[in-house]
Amino acid sequence: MNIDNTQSQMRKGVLEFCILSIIKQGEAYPSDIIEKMKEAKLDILEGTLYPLLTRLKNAELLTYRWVESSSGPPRKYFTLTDKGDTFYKELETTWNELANAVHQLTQTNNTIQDL
Amino acid sequence: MKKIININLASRLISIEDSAYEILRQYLESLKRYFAREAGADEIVSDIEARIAELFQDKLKKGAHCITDEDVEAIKASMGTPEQFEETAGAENTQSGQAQQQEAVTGRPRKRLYRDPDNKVLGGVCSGLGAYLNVDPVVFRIIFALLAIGGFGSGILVYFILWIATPEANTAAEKLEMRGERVDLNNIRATVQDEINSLKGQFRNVGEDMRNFSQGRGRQVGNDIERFFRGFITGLGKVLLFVTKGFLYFLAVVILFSLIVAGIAIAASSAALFPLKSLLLASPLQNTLFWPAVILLLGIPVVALVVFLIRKLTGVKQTNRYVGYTLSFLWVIGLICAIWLISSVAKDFRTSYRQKDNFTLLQPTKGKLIIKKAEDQVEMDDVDFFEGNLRVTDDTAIIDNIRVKIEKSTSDSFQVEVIRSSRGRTIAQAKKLANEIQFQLNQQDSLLYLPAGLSIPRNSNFREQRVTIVVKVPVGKNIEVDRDAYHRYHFVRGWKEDWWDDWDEWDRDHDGPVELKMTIDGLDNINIEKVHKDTNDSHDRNRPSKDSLQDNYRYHHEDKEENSDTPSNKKEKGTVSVSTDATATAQVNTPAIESASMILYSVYNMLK
Repeated sequence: MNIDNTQSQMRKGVLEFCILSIIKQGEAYPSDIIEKMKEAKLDILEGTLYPLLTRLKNAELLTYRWVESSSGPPRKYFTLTDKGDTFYKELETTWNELANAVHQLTQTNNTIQDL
Repeated sequence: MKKIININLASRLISIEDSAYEILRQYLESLKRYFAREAGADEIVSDIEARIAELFQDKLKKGAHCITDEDVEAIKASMGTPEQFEETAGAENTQSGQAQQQEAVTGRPRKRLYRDPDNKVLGGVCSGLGAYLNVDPVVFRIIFALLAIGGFGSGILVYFILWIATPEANTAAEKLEMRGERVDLNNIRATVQDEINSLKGQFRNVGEDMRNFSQGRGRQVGNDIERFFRGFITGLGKVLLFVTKGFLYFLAVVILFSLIVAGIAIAASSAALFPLKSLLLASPLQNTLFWPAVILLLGIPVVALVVFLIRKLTGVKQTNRYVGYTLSFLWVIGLICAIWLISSVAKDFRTSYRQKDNFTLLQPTKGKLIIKKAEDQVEMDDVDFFEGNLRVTDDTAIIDNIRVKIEKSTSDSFQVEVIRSSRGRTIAQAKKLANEIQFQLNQQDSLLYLPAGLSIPRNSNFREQRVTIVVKVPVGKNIEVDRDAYHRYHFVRGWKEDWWDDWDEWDRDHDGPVELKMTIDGLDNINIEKVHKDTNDSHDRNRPSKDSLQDNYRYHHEDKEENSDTPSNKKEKGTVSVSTDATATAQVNTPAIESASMILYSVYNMLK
């Protein structure tokens, strides 16, 4: 069992949820998403973001439009579709349940250890 | 020191170092290969490109002059390489992860010898070798070219063998193998994906069924068939093109080689050619024209061919057209100089002058005059041209331009006239040149010695100086021409005198002198008369071989020849002389010669 493997699996599981939540807060273009994730200290390889966005877009959870930019060529701004919104809500529910469960379990573990 | 280039990355202008560009290019290539199996691969990669461009532009805006290797490496680190993606993805799919590990265990990348179609000049053999051995292909090109020239074409042969033996690297995997790069699952999948994509494009216009088919096994088959036919036709064209091209290159190399050899020969013998040049060229104008004419006319093609071959060897495609213009212009100048020179020299031959002198001849006591060639006064290992027809010493040029004319004398004594003639630009010049000719006959009783050539002063010019010796033979007297003399001098024949033809014929069989008799009708050959008589006796005219054999023996009757009748000598003659018969052997009547002729006969039969 590889620790790195497990860690990256954990991160990967929440990655889509994180991205969707960033986009849900408002239109975002990839660089914004990366900046926000960096701020939150959720380090990912940027290279993995783009295929993920494309996959979500192909699954019709996301859509984008081209927005003129003052510096350079137009940028892709992503928004959630209705389908994506539903998807996000389901993920949110799952995440909350999971977080609670994990929290509860780890807390219990800690208390057992503490005792 | 590094070169900075400007690139357009996702519609942004980026100044980037040359080496950094190379890293970036390879990185983007690897990403393309990695994402090829994903739907929307192009989109993903262009998104990534846009991101990289954005980051680079930020960097440049902050005051960096250009993007360096470190910047690109930083980007690679934050973006992640395909290997890193694979690790992450591998966690999710353990099976593929294991496959990946197996791939890694296979370890050292295999390197194979391919022909490299991307950097080829001819067949890509040299570039393939270069990629295989990590050496600049130019090295191999030069080696092959040297072998082709110096190794009697072995380079060409080896090249052809390699061409036939090594496959061409067509697919990405083969190209990777050629360079010894790792051929991992990504790359192969990417290659297949590429082909599917291109194939999809090809089949787009065909109906839905066709597309469905193309996504199944049929795709592969259709692909193969199409590739086969396309490959076959282009291959055929390539072969034709190559044969023509190869022939042209070969021709160019041969021409270059011979020009170089000629150049070296001229350079080596230029010391010897100088006297020739000064003999032929008179005026300063001609001397001035000579060198430009020679150098431009011969040198320009050499330079042009060298440039052409080097360009082909190094694979430099772009040509500077001014080079071509300049070279042809110079060559035309050389041509003009040459024509001018030739016409100027030709003018020097316009007029001619003849001067006749009588040679005081003591009448030969035996009533027979013998014409012989005097021993050479000049050593033959002096500089000599045209097989000894022109020899040049320190102060004299000796020209072998002597004619001999045998005429009927009006009186009853032998007479000899010497006519010197020359050509020149003016009559005065021709006369001066004719008078300058030194030509000394020498008589010893019945022997008349002719010098080997006429002499003119070294600083004079050759304007077709010539000496004609007219020998007048009284009727009833004989003249003998030494064979050496016959070969040496040009004998002017009277139009009625058909005996010369016979002489030419015997010439192949004999080397003795020929004796001629002056009759009322003109010259007659004594030898011929005898031959005719013999042939009439034997009633065997249809066998010229017999005549020649008889002649052979007849000459041996003469005092000089008898001594040289050693068996070895005979054998040499035997190879050319032909059949023998009773009359001939009876005439000779010498046992030694008889046995010799028997040997000759058998030798002849063997040869036959």
